[in-house]
Amino acid sequence: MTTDDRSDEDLLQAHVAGDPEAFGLLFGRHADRLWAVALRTSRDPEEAADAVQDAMLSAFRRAQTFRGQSKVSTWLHRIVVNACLDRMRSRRARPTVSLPEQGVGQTLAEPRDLIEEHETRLTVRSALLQLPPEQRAAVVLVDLEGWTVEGAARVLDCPAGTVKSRCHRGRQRLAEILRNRGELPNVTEQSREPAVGETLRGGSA
Amino acid sequence: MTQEQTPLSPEDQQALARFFESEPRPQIPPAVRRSVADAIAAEARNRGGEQEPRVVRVPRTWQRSYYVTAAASVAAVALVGLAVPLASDNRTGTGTTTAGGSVVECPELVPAASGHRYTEATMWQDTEHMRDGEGCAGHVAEPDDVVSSELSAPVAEAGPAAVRAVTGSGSAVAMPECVARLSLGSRISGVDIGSYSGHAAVVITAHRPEQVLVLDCDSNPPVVMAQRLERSIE
Repeated sequence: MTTDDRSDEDLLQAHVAGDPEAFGLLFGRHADRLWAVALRTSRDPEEAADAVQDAMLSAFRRAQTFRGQSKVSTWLHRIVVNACLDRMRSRRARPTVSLPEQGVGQTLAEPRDLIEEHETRLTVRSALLQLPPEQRAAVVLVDLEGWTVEGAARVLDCPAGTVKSRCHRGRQRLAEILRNRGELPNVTEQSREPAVGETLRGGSA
Repeated sequence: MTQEQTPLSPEDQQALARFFESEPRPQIPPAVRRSVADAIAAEARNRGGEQEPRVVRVPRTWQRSYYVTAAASVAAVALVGLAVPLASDNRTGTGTTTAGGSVVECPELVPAASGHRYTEATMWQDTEHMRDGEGCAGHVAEPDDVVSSELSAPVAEAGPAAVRAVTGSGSAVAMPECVARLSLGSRISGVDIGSYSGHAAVVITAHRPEQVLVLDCDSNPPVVMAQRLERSIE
C-alpha cells in the first residue's frame, strides 16, 4: 500500500516532476477518507465512485496548479466534494441505497442482517439526502468526518461563517426529520446549540 | 437570510450525535480503489506516451473552439460518402479529438465493417458534463444508465450499455446526436467532435475494455467509421 515516507506535498511535487507512481501513492494514502466524504455527499455508491475517479483524474491533470496555500489533503477533498456537488446538480435526485455486493465464494450474511444494515444506512443517508447539497457537504465534513469549521471552509472554498450557517441549518433539518420519524422526542425546551467552532462530534482535520 | 436560527436543544444535539455515529466511516471498496488506481496508472502511462490514446493539454479554449467549429463545418460535406470506402479496405487510421480540452490521438484504428450500425440509444449523457471543456470524461457505462423508454428489447438482452452523445456545448457548435454502444462497465474517457484520417467525425474513447469508436454522425442512423476494440461489443 502506501509505505512511502514522502510527505503529501513531496509526492505531489514528484508527480508534477514526472514520477509515474507518486500520484497513485497519494491517492492510496487518502482513498478511504475521500471515499467516505464522496459516499456521504453523493446519493449512492456508484455516484460516489464516479465522483472519486473524476476528481482524482482532474487532480492528476491539474496538479501543477496546486499553489500550496492549503494542505494537499484539503485540496484533494475540495476536488472530490466539488465533483460530488457537480454531479448532484446535473442530475435528478434519485435516492437509492445499494445492497452490498457478494463476491464469488464469499460467505453470505444472513438476509436479516443485510436488511437491518441496509435500513440503518438508508436512515442516515436518506436523511442526509433531504438536505440541500451544500448543507449536506458541510454537515458531512464537520459532523461526520470531524473537520473543523475552518478546515471545512477551505475544502468548500467559502467563509467559515457560511459553513457554520450551513451546518446549523442542516442540523435543524435533520432534527426535524428524526423527530418526524419518531426517533426524537417532541421537546419544546430549547437550549443553546454548539458554540462557534464546536462540532457535535469534535475532532479536527 | 430569513430562516430562523433556532438553537438546538441538548436532547436534539445528543440524538444527532447518536445519529451520526450510527454509521461508521465507510472504507473504500477494493473494486473502487482498484478502478481509480487503474485510471490513475493509465493516465500516468498516457502522460509518458507509453499507451494510447495520448493526451496533450490544449492551453487555450479558442483552439478547442476552432477545432470543433472547423470539424463541424466540413462534416456536412465530407462524411456522407465516407463510410463505405473506409469500410472496404484494411488501412489503419488515426482519430483525433479535443475531448476534455485535450488533444486525444487514437492511432491504428481499423475501419469498421460495412453496414456496422448502432441504432439504440440507452444512456443519456447530458451536456452539463461537457461544460468548461470537461467533456464526458469519466462516465461509466452501466446498467443503471439504461433508460427503459429508449431501450429496445434486443439491446437489453444483449447487455451492452450505450452512450448517446450530443456533441457541442458552450463555444462549440451543435452537432447531430450520435449513438454508439460500448461495453458494459467501460469508462468513457472522451466524447467529442474530432477527425478521422483527416475527416470530421465524432470520436469516443473508453477504457476497461479499451475501445475507440469513430462515428459518422451525418448518417442516420450513425455509422461507425472505424474502431479499436479490446473486446467485441456485438
